[in-house]
Amino acid sequence: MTAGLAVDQRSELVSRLLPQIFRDIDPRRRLTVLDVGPGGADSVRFFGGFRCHVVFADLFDDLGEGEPGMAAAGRLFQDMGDVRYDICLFWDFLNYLSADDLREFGRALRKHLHSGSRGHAFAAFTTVADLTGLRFELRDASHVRVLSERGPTPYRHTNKVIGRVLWPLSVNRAVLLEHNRQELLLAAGPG
Amino acid sequence: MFDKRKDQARPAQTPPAPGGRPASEPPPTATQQPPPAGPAIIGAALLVNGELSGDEDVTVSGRFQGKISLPKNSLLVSKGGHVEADVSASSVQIEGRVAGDIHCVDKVIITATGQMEGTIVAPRVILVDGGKFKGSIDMDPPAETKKPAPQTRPAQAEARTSGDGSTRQVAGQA
Repeated sequence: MTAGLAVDQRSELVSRLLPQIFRDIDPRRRLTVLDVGPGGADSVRFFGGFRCHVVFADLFDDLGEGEPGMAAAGRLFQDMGDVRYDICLFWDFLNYLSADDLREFGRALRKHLHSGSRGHAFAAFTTVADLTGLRFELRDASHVRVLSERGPTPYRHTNKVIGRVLWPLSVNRAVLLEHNRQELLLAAGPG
Repeated sequence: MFDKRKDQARPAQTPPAPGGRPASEPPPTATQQPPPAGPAIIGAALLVNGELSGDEDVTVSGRFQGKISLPKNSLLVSKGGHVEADVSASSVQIEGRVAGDIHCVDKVIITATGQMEGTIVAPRVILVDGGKFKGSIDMDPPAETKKPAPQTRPAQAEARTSGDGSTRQVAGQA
């Protein structure tokens, strides 16, 4: 998420926190990943190096005027079965949920997490953060391809609120980015 | 079930005998005919509803609804083709639209024009830039392509090469 992203501009973000998500992964174990974004070429290529089950939920696809983000998320969780995710990539989806929808999202997600689950999200650091519509693809464990294409009105949730509603995930680390944005490392259990 | 273009796509199906065959000579019997040279094609104007299985590569240019089972062969859903089915095949290339579950022995390629919604279970999945996917993927890559360390970009060169491959190349890998 670099400075001044405009529509149709493509950029790449070097993440300091994502590598921690993928650190210490046991290659013998099947990795379970929830990516709330669409399946992108880079992300599919990246996860192709793992023995894994990846869900590309594309919750952004249903975001738009008149439809709360939770509507898409609700349909997702209905069909999810009893899978528990090792890694949740939220990108900036949480910013498009109202406080009520965020609470509902966290409640629905909870039964799909376990004590070792980890997550990553982009959030606003202040209310004046520049959160235009963005799309993300994971190029590798530390590089995120950023594309600008969506533009619903974002909300702003504090780290405290995010940690509370996504329990057992809580904000383990936060790194401040340009334009009053931040990336969050979320982890279950004691931080 | 299949349209006439299937025959048109096989110009070399009954090759002339060396030196040419007299016009009066009877055509070869079915048992003498060589195996099919190209995939079976469901044409763009066809809608097929049901179950498709066999030992031949298949191209869907029209619309197919139901179930497809090609355990030793390839399925190509060409641009404009639309498959709503559970698919089991050796390899699948999606240039059109697919909704359903895909089980693949080798790999699934979603090209730049391809759209897939559903579940993919395959050792390798290649999504070319521009292709769209929504759903879940179960991958178990061959040992040599597994990530040795988080910083690496796995199988990038291979994916690019394969992503540019033509229909025939994919079918040949089945």
